[in-house]
Amino acid sequence: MRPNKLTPGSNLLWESSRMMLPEHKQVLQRHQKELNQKSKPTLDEQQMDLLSQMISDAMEQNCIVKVHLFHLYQDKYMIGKIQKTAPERGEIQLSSKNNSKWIHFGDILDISFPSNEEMNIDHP
Amino acid sequence: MKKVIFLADMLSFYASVEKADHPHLQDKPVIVAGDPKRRSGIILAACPLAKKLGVQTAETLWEAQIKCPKAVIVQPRMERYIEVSYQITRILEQFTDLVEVFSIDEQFMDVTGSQRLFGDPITIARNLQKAIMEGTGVYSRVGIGPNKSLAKIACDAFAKKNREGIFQLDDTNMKEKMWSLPIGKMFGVGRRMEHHLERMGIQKIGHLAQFPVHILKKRWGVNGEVLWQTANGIDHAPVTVNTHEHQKAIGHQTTLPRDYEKMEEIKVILLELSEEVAQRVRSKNYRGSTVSVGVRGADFKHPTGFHRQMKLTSSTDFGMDIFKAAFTLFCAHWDGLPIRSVSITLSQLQPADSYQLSLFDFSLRKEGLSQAMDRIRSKYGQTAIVRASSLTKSGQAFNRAAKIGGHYK
Repeated sequence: MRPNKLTPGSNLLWESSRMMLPEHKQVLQRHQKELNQKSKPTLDEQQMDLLSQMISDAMEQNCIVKVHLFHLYQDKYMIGKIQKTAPERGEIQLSSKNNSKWIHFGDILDISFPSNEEMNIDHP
Repeated sequence: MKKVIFLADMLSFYASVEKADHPHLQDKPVIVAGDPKRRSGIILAACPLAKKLGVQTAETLWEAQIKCPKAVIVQPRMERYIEVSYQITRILEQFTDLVEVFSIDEQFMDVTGSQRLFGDPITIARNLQKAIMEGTGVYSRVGIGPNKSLAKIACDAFAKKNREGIFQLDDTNMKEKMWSLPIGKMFGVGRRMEHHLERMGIQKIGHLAQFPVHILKKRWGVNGEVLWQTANGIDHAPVTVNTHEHQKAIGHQTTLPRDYEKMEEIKVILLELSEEVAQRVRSKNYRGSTVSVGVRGADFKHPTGFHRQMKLTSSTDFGMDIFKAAFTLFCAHWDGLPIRSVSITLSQLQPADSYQLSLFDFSLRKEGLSQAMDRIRSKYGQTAIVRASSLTKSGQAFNRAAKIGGHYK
């Protein structure tokens, strides 16, 4: 059944009777988005060491990894093989079947091994 | 735990903002009014000093000036009012994360979980008033209740009238205070409903509360039950923070500078509104499949006009598609009388990322055209490119582009 004004948890009673300027709505929508914005966590030294260890291991064994990247509004992951590192620029190159991308080391939050299902998704 | 809901309402909001921004107006009667040369020349807000002299919201400027010749008339600045309203939202968010903006000058908040930090409801309300005054210079009134509808009635019927500007309604004083109010004071009861209820012998909110609910349900369905619940202080609607996120319809309405009588003139307005709606729909990345048109007649005493809708065969975000449907509806329902205002709405929105392609209506060219127009407009302004018909006498595109909600930005 379609929710009506009596449906528990519904806000229809108030939504159907309010007056909002579209310009005002836009401001509030932007505000909501900013409220959900994430701030970048700082990794401590041990974590950094662990990540660089994992990068070199993964390259050596040529295995696929799942990289958790920082993004303002969502959880972003990329899956692929680490092709190259460029320590002077602080970047690594991640490549999947038909794509490859340079990732800045500072954007990496975590590295793990993908599950079997995730392996089949074509990233990045 | 019992909920504690606030409704914070700003006193003569537009006028208060003008006074705060222009301190030399502080002790003068101030009226915010639209352009007197146009139909929008009505009183949008009057400060308490002007109201004391009899000035009322929504009367015409000349009526107000007779009552209060010394009043300072200020042109509305809608962008500024939105900004201050948003500033107030952020002040409320210092007390709780549950804030629902209800209109430009009314906002709900749920402070149930804030009491351990900020004290009992009355204390929070006082601090809130103070914070809003210090931050924006606007005086606010706070209605307190166990739900939104009681908070609203507490504010409208009591907090606005007492010296403190704060009032709390709950189970203990609801019958004594709220039930003795005339029925027209209840949230959700308009002029017409007031009249119907009075004819059923319901004069006060208490009468409605004790009226057999099945009769109300039979007559007005869900709405009847909602009214009965409101009268009994029942309202389960939560303070909904993200209430403005999902959009069900996108529409535009315009009041014409003079009455339009000819089909040719009205056609121009229909096209302009259709294009505006389409542009907004595209900017939000939606498509919609129901077009509705509303028209109001020129004569206030004998209201005429209609509001009709039709479903399209496939969803669209093109101005021309909307216009064609709107024009068909208009031709079918217009009684030929002069027209004062027109609105067009596109509803049944769906995300534009994936949609059913129409076999008979190849849309790639239209898509390219709208994209190009949107880009030109976002770069060089809304009026950088308009339809030729907007250059005729009946066109309103240039006038509308300078305004928010029908008043100057």
